[in-house]
Amino acid sequence: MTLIHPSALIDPKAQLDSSVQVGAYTTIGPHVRIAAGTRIGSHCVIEGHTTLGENNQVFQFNSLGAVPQDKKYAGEPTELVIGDRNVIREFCTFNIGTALDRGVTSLGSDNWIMAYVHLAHDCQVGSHTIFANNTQLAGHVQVQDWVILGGFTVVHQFCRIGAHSFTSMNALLFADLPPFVMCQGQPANARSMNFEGLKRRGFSALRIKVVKGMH
Amino acid sequence: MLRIEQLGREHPEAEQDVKDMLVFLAQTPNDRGIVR
Repeated sequence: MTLIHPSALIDPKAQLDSSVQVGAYTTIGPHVRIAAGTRIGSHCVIEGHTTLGENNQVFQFNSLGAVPQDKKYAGEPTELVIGDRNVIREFCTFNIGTALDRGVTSLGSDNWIMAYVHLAHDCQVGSHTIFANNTQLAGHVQVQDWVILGGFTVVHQFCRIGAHSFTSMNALLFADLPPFVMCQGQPANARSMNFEGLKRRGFSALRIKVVKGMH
Repeated sequence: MLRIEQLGREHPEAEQDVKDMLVFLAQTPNDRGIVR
């Protein structure tokens, strides 16, 4: 079975494991590295200094590693680094970092990124997160592990989202969202703690009680 | 903050959760603040 569709344009300098699958009409640039088992759908553009780990599923029509939407960017070889076992649905845009920050936009492992998500330059996303459709992160945003962002959540630049927190659909964040907190609204207000999420992740009754006490 | 620290001392099983919260709050710049 051919793993690379004949219509895919893959730069000879790109480093792809022999088990990587690439769909029709996808373009992959010279500084891209893709590890074993990762599947790239059709009509994707992967460019810049972009690294994808193992067993990721990148659906059709994604743009990974394009230059930042930042006027100060001047062509520096900054990076996009993606871990393992992520699912990235259609029409997502993940940009590389900028030299004025860490120079790296990063996504950890085991994340489920639904369609139309934007990760701007220098965002740092942990692992085991879920971003529902149309979640938009501005530059420099940090998202810790196990966060769930509801559909159409918008996060202002430099904000931080704490582990195990949860946003409702259409939440608008201008401030940091502490760990465990559920929020809703424009701008978002804290509504409760993410007790259901904590239960599902095996938090004991006592730990949940303490989290409740921190509210 | 003091109340949160107290919770951590009273319940060692949840000490790390309390620590995570305190570290997060300490790193939040005053001009941005937190979702309340």
